[in-house]
Amino acid sequence: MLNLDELLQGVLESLETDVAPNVSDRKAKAQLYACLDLLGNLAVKVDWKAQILRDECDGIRSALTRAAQLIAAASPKRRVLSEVSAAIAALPSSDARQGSDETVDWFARRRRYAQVFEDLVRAVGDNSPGSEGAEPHGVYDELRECVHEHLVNQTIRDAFYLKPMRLSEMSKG
Amino acid sequence: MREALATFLASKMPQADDISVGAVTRHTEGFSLQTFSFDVSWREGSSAHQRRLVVRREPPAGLLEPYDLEPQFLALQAIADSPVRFPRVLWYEADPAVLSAPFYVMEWVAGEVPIPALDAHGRPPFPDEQQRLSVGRDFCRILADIHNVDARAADLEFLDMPRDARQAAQRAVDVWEGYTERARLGPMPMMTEALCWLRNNLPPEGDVCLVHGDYRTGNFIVRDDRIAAFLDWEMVHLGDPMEDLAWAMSKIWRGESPRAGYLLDPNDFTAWYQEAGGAKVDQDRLHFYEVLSGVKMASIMLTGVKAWHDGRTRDMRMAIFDQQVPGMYAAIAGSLGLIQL
Repeated sequence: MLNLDELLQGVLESLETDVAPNVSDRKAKAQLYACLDLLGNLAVKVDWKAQILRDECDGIRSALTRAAQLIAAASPKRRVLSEVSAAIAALPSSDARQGSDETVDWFARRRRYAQVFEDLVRAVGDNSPGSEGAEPHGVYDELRECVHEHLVNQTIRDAFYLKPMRLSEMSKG
Repeated sequence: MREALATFLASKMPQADDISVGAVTRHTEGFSLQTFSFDVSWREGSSAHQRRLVVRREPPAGLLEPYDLEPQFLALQAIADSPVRFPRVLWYEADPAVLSAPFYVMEWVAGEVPIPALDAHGRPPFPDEQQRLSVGRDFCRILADIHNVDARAADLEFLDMPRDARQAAQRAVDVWEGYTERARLGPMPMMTEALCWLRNNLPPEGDVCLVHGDYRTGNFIVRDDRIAAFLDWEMVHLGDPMEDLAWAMSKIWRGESPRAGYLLDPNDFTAWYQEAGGAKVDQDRLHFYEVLSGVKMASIMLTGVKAWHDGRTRDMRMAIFDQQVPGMYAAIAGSLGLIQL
């Protein structure tokens, strides 16, 4: 996910340099400049909705907490899992009471959580039965289930916000 | 650009006098290579000639970077005598001084390029049933023709012939993992999950053939209810024929439609492809390449986002993938059986 300010600056630049010079209708051009004016002012005031980022953090945190419990209970030998456990323990709490939406950088926190979750995904995926050095330990099945559960939940969350891509218009112009 | 093209064509057509290049039209259908068409007229002795040509040029940055047009140009030259329908390529120019970036010139093929999405009015491509079936038949036949090219006889070994389908699959995973990692701007757990799955589920040995690599609705020209030419050979390589089938059938290219590429029921597609002389369809291999298709498309999108983020392109069509890539993660989750699409 890109920084919102970066995206909005790109929109402004494209409208200003690629679109505006090619709009000949005066009313359309007037509307375009009104949009540019409005977007320019909004760009410095808005950011991603904290609620969306916080929900994702909560989802990852919950999956990681479960994973840490499974790893602690089963004590598998692979060092990578103890490293993941340590990384989970070092994460800040996603509890909103730890800071208001204004004081917590949810964007950065989401990134940190997601990185530890990705490390867990890789540690579990690399231990698939039949793969080199695989540890025959039932905990991997439970960890895999835990990973899949979060991936599914996050996919559903993302799908809720996703608008259909305007491929046809973007292709045909 | 007109003047540069005229100078270039004069160097390639020594028999031609008074070469004149008409207005150059920029096409927007492709998100990757830049495409321009133009009319060129010239004299040869006392006779006057005119022809429409197309330039395909490397973009400064984009979805499939780093770009190298030469392998696809050579591959298309090598199969020029095959029954495969594609615009014949004429010249390749590697020197960026000529037209700002390497490019090749190919013949113009008239017709329409149907896009695999609903149009602005919510209409799907191929609304006419007769056209849909006719184009669908060609879609199967041309794919079988591509897969039946004798790669050794056509001197395609410069594309680095894999030992077998297992090695081809291994290479495909390496290639797309490479794209994914080069495009990394942050954590990508779904990609990691899919790549681990692919490495753990490589298909067994099997035959390899010429693979288009981007065989789908959106990459062919329709004229008179037939496919006049197949385009966009940027990902051509030697590999498993199931890679093209899985890509063509992927949910990525069909929206809510049950039909592969809005064209054919998946069972009809595989049956007609085999009837046309295509490879035997293997469901397990197909599943492997279905998962790879999601990974491939997501890494293409991520590559576009990275190029935009780095400031190497200001094309907003690259930036939109930042918001659209979760749709691809959903396709991957569906192919892995984690969710029902």
